[in-house]
Amino acid sequence: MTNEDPILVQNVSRAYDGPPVLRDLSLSVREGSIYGFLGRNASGKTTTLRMLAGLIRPHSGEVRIMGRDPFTTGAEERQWVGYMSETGMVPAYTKVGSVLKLGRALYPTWDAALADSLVAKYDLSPGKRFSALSQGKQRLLGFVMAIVPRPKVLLLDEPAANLDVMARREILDDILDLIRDCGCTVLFSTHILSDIERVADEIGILAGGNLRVSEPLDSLKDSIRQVRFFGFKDGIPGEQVPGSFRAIRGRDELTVTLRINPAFTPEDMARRWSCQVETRALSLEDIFVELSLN
Amino acid sequence: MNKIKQFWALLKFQMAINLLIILMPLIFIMGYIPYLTRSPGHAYNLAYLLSNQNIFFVGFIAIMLLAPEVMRSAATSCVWPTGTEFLLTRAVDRRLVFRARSLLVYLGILAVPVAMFLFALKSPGLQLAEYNKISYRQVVNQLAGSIPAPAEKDGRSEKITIPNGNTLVESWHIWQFLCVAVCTQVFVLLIYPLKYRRFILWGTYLGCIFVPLIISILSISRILSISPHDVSRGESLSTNEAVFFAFVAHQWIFWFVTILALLMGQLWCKRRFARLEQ
Repeated sequence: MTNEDPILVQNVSRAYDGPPVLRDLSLSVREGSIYGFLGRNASGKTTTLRMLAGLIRPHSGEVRIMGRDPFTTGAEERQWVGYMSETGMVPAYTKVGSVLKLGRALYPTWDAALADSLVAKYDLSPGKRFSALSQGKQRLLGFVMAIVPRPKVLLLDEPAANLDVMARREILDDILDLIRDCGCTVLFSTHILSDIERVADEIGILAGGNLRVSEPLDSLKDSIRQVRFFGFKDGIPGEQVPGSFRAIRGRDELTVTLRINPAFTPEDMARRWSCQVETRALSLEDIFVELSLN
Repeated sequence: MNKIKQFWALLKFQMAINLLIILMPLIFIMGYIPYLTRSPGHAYNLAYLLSNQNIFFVGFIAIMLLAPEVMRSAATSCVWPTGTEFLLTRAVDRRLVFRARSLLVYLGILAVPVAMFLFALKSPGLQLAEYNKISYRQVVNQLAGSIPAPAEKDGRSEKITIPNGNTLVESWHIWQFLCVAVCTQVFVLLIYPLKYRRFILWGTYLGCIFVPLIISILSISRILSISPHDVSRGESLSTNEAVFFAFVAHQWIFWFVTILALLMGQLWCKRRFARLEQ
């Protein structure tokens, strides 16, 4: 984490009228990377994104977008941040054309050619009211509004929700195009893990109000393993396995999800416990479930 | 970035997306229908002219356009169609969003009463019926130029002619609307830090509508116990009348204080509203 990272969240806590949703959350996204933000429902993903979009403030800690507090930035700084919200994007009776016209009036960087091509590609009729669009098309319009000003930072809250596979792929391709064109930094939350696997450079899994992991996808897949210890001679020991996220004790076996530590491998542990060991690689979905459950 | 261009873009867009709320003040005109369709020489009851049910809509419009979305709907679902979340996450200065909204609020609520004021300038004279001796005396004593109308058959005059009565009544309505809008804005800001702000806001709003209604229903038994003659000749001033006479007597002070409160409220509210979470 460096202070130059375009997206920076430091020791942030935030509650609504109850227990904290975020507890001392720290997160940073490197310039030009795509960060996939995972978490169960109500884990605090939207709260984090709303903070980064300048809609709400942290109760403690600080949030920075390109070095500035997003809640106090003016139009000049805001033009570099594209935001697509999960809900409440555009008022129901607004026409698609009016929304695009507003974008053109507000953003000096508005790319009219890109807007036209995306509107045609997604079949968004300018004369239609927002409420008359299908949920998928509503999301596509939100995406168009976020991406067409060619932002430097793109915040997407569940961009692929309610979209069919084709539309989802098109959105992901457009994100990749944008990054290729202008080195945009993207933070997007989703429940669709295949999307994350397809485009994300780095992922963060939010659970219990904090990031359980935040690292490059490949490194995460390489380092997290499920290890089954079995054949204990003296029964299952009570000792905790170093680096473990979750442990399930069976009658004569112990299954542990852990981060592999080259200095102290599961085999070393098995030798110490005088048992056998079996190690299994996990898919991203398995990793997500294991880390979120704990 | 050109702030004027941004402001007009925001104003036009917000006018389009909040069209129903913006057009709501047109129903104010309903309160003026009896007035617009009156026959020449018709005498009015001053208490009736001063009462104005439309002030509840003024409060509603101010809340709907200016109060943060968390005070209008559940904390985490900002789905009310005023587009606050959408606008605040575009390339805008937050203050301009609220400045444009505030202009919409005041344009909306003042359009009809100002139009009626201009209409009243064409025929400013107003004839009042005597329905209350205190009120009658106050009108004759305090409203400049008011004179009892020529006596009828029984030699007794029960009407008063006020040369600028219509304009006074319309300026009173404008003053009332401004007061309610300013008070609503300040009230929203004062209760914003409170935990139950949403319930306090709507509870107070509904209370302002229903408490007077309930009190009047409860007082029906008292009214029924006295003769209609006593009711029509009651010997006290309504609150509206009392404030109206003070308003007429000290118009400049009232207007000065109101405009000052409006300007201060606007400066304070725009800065404050822009800092509130949505």
